[in-house]
Amino acid sequence: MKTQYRRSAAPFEFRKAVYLAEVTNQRAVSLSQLLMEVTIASRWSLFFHLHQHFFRDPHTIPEYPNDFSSWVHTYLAEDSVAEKLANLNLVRSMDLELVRREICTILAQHLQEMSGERHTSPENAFVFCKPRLTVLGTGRRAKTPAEFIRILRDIDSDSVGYHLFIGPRLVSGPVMNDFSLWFRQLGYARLAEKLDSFDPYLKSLKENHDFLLHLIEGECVESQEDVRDDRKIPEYRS
Amino acid sequence: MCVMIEKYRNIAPDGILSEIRALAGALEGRTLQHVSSTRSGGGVAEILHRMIPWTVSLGIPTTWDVIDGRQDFFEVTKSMHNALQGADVDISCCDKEMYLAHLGQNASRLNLDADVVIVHDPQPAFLIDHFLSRRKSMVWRCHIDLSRPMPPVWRFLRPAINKYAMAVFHIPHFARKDITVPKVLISPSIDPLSEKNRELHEEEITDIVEGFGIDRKRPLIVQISRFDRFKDPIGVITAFRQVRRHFDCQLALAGGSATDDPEGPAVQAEIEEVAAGDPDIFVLFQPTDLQVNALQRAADIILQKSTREGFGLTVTEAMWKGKPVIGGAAGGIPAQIIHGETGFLVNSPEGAAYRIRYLLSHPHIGVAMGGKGREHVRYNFLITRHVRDYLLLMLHVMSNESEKPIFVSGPAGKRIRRNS
Repeated sequence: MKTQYRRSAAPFEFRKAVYLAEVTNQRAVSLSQLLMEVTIASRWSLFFHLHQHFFRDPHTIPEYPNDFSSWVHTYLAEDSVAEKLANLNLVRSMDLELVRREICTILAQHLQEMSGERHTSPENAFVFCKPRLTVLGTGRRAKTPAEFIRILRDIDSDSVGYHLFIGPRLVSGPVMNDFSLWFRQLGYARLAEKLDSFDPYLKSLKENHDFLLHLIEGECVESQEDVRDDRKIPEYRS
Repeated sequence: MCVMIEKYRNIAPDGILSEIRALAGALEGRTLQHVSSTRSGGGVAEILHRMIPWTVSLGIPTTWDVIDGRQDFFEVTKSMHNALQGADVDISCCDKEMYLAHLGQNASRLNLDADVVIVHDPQPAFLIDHFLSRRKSMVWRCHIDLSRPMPPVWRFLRPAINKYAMAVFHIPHFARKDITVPKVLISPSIDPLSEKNRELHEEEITDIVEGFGIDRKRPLIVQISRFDRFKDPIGVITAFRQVRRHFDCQLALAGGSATDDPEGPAVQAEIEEVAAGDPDIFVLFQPTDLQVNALQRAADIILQKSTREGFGLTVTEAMWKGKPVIGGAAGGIPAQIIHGETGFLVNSPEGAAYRIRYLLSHPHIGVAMGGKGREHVRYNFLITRHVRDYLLLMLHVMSNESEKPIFVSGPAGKRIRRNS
């Protein structure tokens, strides 16, 4: 298993992000308006409405896991559309343009098949927002898997959310997630594969945090020995 | 070490406290100035009294200026305030001229020279006209529901708002499309250490609620709110009476009326008439903060059955006490209650009655919902999140950048750079 240390990589710098939501002038009170607005919404706006629940409450995954599906369910009572919007293929779509296309296809198909259209009142309109993002360094850096695990154990779940969603989609991406990128660079191909293939959209941020810790610990058994004894942490130089 | 951060440790999430520390590090030496219409009474003054010690303790010198004026000046600002929230009142040209002249006098004695100046609510909004060279550092903070204003009054105010660098609202629906400057959201908050929200001993809770004649052995449903038709107190009594056919329970309706609300006494009289002779309905007038705290903690279920609402901080307070909340789907209530998770959203007395019956039948579900609600408030609606958002606001006003992230390096947040 020592061969897993055969490569070097720049240290993994744990970050997190905080944001203010900026309200845009885009609003929708029906599915056709939602379709029109999603077509022209900024990718920041799409990202916001697909991910904000993770950062509002790290412990909970809502019944309808993004703002579009939740709004269609709550205010238009179009549950078949809400279900389709809840089932978006986010984990495989690194590019938000693909997600936009998927949302538009769902809405357009439904509009084609239906005869009348439901409207909600202006005070219940879907209001498009976008994040004004501030990225914070946490001062925590990992040079080895052992250090990575040690930091991951006590880092804030929001930081996990940054590296699963915000960094890969908005800041440094598009990549599947920052964790898999780093472990792949270190030579942990199997772990990177697993990190790429799990679906973080089915879990709350806290559950994702616990899952990642369990997965990475399990794959880096030798690193755990290093965790127990700092003196054994090897130096890696590029 | 920041005294305030230490005071809230183990109450607020560690993550938010570390964010505050990082952002404050990046803002060290910058100054903040608030301008409002009063130093006492009302929600804005209450928030600033709690917020300013925070920013000062974080190393951000903060000042608070208040506009002054004669009684007729404040009568105009009160009318303006009511009209902007939908009351059917207009302001005469004479009154507008008098208002602007008074504000001009205020402007001549004020020095709005901080790195970021936050002007609260409509009353002082026209100060911007006297500080146009500083407009890029000035933010208008709106604490009211602007979604359905009286058009003539809004047409008067709107040009002033559109001169600010940014405008801040509680919820998206208050951020009107005809405001052309960037509009951001900052939710209000509660202070977990205030008299209304601090932890209480069971004996203290029992003493207070038994003092009202409430029996702690029987389920208690509580609504705390002004005696106002938009809070639907009669709908609450209707729902309660439907529930009581099935459950032996009690209802406490506690509130008061604002001095500027001419309908308040009439609504209270109506409530008392409807509740008259019912030993299980307790109508409590003007309870103290401590009594509100005890009532909320003694409750099994808390209602906020509003048909129209601002943000609805009574919902936040109730959730912080770990109670399931049944709220009207109005104003900021849907932004707080996660339907089916932390409580229920309803649209009628029947809807409220059904959800009360459901929760009384499944008390363990109510306990679980209350627990989730408390965590939801911990992350989103405590003063610590509010402080963090004000620091973010300062950063964004000073950076004048909306499209690219701002980077703050290190846990102490000493360096700011912009993404290239």
